[in-house]
Amino acid sequence: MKGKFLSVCLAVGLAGSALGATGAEEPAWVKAYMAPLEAAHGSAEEKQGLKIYETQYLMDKGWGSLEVGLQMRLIDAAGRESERRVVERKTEEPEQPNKTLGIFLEPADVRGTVMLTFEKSTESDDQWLFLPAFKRTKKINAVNKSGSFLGTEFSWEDISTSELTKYHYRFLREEGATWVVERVPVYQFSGYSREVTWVDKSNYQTVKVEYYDRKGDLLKTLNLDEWAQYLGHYWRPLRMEMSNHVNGKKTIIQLSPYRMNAGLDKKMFSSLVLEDIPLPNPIGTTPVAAAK
Amino acid sequence: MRWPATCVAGVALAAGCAGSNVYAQVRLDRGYLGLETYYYPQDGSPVQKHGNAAVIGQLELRGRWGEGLSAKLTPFARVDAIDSHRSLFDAHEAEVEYSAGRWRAQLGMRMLSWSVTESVGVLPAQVVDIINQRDLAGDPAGQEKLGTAMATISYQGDSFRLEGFALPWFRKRKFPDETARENPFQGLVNLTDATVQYTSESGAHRMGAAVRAEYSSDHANVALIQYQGYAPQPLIVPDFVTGRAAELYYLIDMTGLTVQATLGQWLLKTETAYFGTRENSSRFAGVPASYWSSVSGVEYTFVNAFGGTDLGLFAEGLFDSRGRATNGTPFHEDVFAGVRWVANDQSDTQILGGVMSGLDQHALVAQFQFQRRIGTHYQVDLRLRTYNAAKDSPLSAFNEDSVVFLKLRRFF
Repeated sequence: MKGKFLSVCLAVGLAGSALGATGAEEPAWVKAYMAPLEAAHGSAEEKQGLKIYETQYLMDKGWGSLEVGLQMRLIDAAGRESERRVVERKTEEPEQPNKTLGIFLEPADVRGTVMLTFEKSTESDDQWLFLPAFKRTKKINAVNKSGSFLGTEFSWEDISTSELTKYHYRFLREEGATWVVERVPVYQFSGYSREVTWVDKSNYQTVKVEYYDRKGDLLKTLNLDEWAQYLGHYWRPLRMEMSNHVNGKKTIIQLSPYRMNAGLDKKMFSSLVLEDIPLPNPIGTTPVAAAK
Repeated sequence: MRWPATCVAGVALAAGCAGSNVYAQVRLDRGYLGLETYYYPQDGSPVQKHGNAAVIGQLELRGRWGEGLSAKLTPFARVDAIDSHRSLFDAHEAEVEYSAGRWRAQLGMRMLSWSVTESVGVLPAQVVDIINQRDLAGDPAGQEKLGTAMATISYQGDSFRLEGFALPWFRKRKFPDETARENPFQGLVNLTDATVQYTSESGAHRMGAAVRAEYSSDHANVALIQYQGYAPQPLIVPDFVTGRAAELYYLIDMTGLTVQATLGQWLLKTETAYFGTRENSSRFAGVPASYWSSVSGVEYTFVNAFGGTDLGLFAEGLFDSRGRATNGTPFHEDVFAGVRWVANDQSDTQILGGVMSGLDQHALVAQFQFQRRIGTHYQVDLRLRTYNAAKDSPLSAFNEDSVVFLKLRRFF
């Protein structure tokens, strides 16, 4: 049922038509999810900005669960590098934000650490950390989404952007093959006053983000490259480069090919069983040709 | 090679199982080799030393056979050059586990943690985390545990988990010898040759049991624990036969509760338990009457403190109805307050500082802990702990004492 709707809105969305035209097909949860957002976006620019991200959001539904390997290269202002490796697993929850498991592989001292996150838009995420050295699962306070993730230039806030309700949108301008849309985080403890995003017109994917700090100054720039399409629907960048303009540091994330519709066991996305998750094998990050 | 010490056996178990995903794989998940030293700058009693220095190492091996069957082996070793009594070879984990759907069965030596509070990281003030015996020779602050033999069966529901434990073999506490520091007997009692007594005639092999039920919602994790078996902390009693000291282990029925909950920028935690003791004191002098024990507190997280770092303040209250009577606990009416700072940097730098203070008498323990990675493979852990206690305090034996603890490990 949801699948049918999705393919419809995919087609509609990709054709750039107004999504409202498919009103008859919209399931109740989409109406309920969109209604407050649409009500909050009053002006024509706001509606246009929301529409672009709404299309992106609905296009990305239906992958079930996924697994991907992340190799993070941390480069400081002097050019010194260090590396992190994480295996990320996500599961789509019907009518709820996604659940994410991050399993740390490198550096060796944190190997086996598991982070479970239930994303929230306007309040702090629910987050747990399993510490293998103590065999202990700690519920942690995830109020601070703007702090560095694993010492990288990415914050947790930059990584967990899948919920539409996290931002207020405004269309700024067209720029070549992209739309430029401003996003203002709704979360009161966000590290940013606003984000300027470039969205590829051909596939509705965000290809570049500029992050402005609380004072309104440009803090970081994110470039998303090496796009691959999975299962004929889902676009993912295999390379993300975040440059911090204030401290001169840079983090490059190289992703392995995604395993989508991975059929992951949903009951493992629970704080009750983090200790039972076996350490995964490192997933290679050599880019391969995109799935057809 | 991403796993330098990985040994992938890759032995096909059954060639006949064509098409099915049957394989056998043994590999090293994690391991470390390191040095640790405790140094006490002050003089202790005449027999006591200024500390110790040891080489430590641990391997975590895991084998998997097909989908549901796996095994874990976590050998741990500590070889101390100064205090040979600290040396230890232990199977922290040596278990096989089988899982099928929502059920999981485990058999062997395991190490678990049921604690949720911060105080338990500073002193042996654990309330509900009693299924693994403590190695007080390894760490006087009670942070080192010994593997415990158990058979476990667990069932995972949608928002809860039930676990049942059978505990066939009770392990005695590992105490430091009389020359060790942070030793409440100040070199006057040597527990390394103490006899071991049990209030049950079956001794160490009296079957213990535990049931744990944990419920998880978005905002809270709540666990109820019922434990039936020996209390891990023995009474120290005279052995009239040998004329030496004896460790007396007595049976308890513990009903415990742990809560970890978030409330905005607040984190609420408690571990509280009622310990029903069975033996009456006419048979075994010193066994306490049934008692309550609790550690409860809050932690407040500041957002964006000092540019992207995490700063948390926490305060916990410790209560124990045994009081500080003989065979009571030093932590019967105390407050532990401190600060945790996480730098969120490339080296995962963390600092934890805290002070524990008695409410009805002068007894102070302060601890500072610093941890960070060095390069890619090394991690340093530095702790400073100092005591200041009045003469009538149960901690008076540690008065004016302080320790510098340094652990440097290479992970692979």
